[in-house]
Amino acid sequence: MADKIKKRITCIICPVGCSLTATGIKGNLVIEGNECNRGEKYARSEYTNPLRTLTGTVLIKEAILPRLPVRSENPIARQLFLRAAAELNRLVVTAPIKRGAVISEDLAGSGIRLLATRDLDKL
Amino acid sequence: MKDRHAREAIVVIGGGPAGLAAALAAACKSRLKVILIERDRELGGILNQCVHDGFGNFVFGESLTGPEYASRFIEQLQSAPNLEVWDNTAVISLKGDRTLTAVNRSGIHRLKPAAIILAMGCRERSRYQAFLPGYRPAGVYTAGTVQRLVNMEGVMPGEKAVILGSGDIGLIMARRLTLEGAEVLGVYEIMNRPGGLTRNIVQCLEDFNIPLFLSHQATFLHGKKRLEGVSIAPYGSSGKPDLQKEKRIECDTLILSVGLIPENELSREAGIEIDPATAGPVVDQDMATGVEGIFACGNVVHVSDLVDHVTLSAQAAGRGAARYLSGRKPAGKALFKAGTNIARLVPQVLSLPVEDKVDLYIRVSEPAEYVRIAISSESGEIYNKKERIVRPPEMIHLQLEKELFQNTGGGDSLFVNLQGGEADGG
Ligand SMILES: Cc1cc2nc3c(=O)[nH]c(=O)nc-3n(C[C@H](O)[C@H](O)[C@H](O)COP(=O)(O)OP(=O)(O)OC[C@H]3O[C@@H](n4cnc5c(N)ncnc54)[C@H](O)[C@@H]3O)c2cc1C
Ligand code: SF4
Repeated sequence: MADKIKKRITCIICPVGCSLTATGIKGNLVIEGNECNRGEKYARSEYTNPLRTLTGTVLIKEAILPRLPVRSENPIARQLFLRAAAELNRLVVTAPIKRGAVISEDLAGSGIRLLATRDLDKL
Repeated sequence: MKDRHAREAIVVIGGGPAGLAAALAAACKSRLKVILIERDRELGGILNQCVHDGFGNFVFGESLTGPEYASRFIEQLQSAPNLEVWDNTAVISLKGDRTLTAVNRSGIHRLKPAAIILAMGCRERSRYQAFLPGYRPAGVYTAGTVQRLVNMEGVMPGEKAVILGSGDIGLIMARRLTLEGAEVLGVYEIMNRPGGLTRNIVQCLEDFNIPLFLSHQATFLHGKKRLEGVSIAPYGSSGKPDLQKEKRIECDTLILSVGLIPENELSREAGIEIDPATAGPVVDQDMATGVEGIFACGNVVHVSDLVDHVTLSAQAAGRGAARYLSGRKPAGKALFKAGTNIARLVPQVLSLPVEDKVDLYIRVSEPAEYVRIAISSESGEIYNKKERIVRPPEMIHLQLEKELFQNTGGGDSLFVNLQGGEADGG
């Protein structure tokens, strides 16, 4: 049935690592397998919209290294990851860059900024 | 010219997070000059290549990337006027009387500092590579090398990768390579349980549908010039690979993520006792080694999965070195001994009297649930703590109040045991 979607989710909130199942039945979400309430909350957000911080690198010119490490300022939707990574591959910056510098104002349409995570001086 | 004798200095060898935190703590607690020696062109150690986040939840209360974590310390260096950094400098020799030899572009320097803190970190195990049957083609790397190539040098190692071993660095690189457009065909682990943290299994493999195969082993490397494929077989009940089920996977890259070993050539040369269980120096709660005036911290002592543990041990070493230089010497020593289901622990030595809280780090041999961690002296139990679950990849960190050791005497043994609990086997 299309309105019943089951997902298996490993809870990573604590070291127990419960195997949870989240089943959406007509707008209702049933969580099973959690040993505590934190797991329920985690499974709900993982089921509906899992968020992750994206980290990676972009090309930098005129610096001692060819890659500048970057991160999304806040977590973004996991579904956007591959698109965001492709966007990173098209970005080119020029040294010097300071840690915290904004490399992109809006990462893959998430509305979240992309920031440099280190300084890189000019060669 | 740099101070050649440095008799009145504390020298820290290695500028990763351990060396940085130790140097800052020593500079803050002591009025002596602190010299931080790093062989690389910049400080930060391994953190510079760990561009992912997840560092610092404990020490800074937020999830930082490796370079951000390092910069928190590097920025504090300015506020320590008695701290000097020698980069592009390698320590090539260390003797038990604390004579050390360092080389850099300006020449060879011999120093004999008042105290030394070892913070050389660890390197990747590669011996496994030597035992892989088959050819010796290009395309076989350790995970840390791939991490450096991709994240710092901007070089992709290949297009289709297989990862051997499920250590954290391999898992992290599975995600990195996928996001960089390579295909990661699977992670194959020789043991019956993953080597890395659950968080990394979920966020680096499950998120990208990368399969993890437990109890599998590589049986052959194909390709004479460049790697063309790898044969893999599950472990049979005989304890040998089941060749009936062997399959060949076409790939151009094989990544080994089979663990880290502390880098202790200098420690051995100085005659420092090495614990076979940790492969690092035997230390006390101040991170003092058995050789007078030499301290050690971070991954050179034992491999930590969390950089925050490295930082805490380094701060203890920095304080310990300053305390040693103020003339205080231990009145006696007791020993922590690893008992049931404890693979290794740090510190191994408890110097008496105990003046501060003691941080004890424990790694278990086997996963287990509903256990008690108990510490007992010959006259009975002095401490216990319940744990819902313990696993080898997750180091246990206990903070023990000094009062627990009121009745501990010189020469006593303190046995650390894991009691009760069901080994969960997988
Ligand atoms: C490849 C790799 C990847 C890792 N990835 C992660 C990760 O993703 N997450 C995580 O939490 N932990 C990771 N770790 C563990 C990580 O090493 C520790 O968390 C932490 O970086 C250890 O700090 P350290 O200062 O002890 O060692 P390091 O960071 O290794 O620093 C040691 C420093 O000492 C210098 N040095 C060594 N010998 C000499 C000498 N003779 N003279 C001068 N300088 C010297 C080295 O150049 C280096 O800069 C990784 C380890 C490795 C090896
Ligand atoms: S559900 Fe609760 S007990 Fe289970 S892993 Fe999540 S936080 Fe831990």
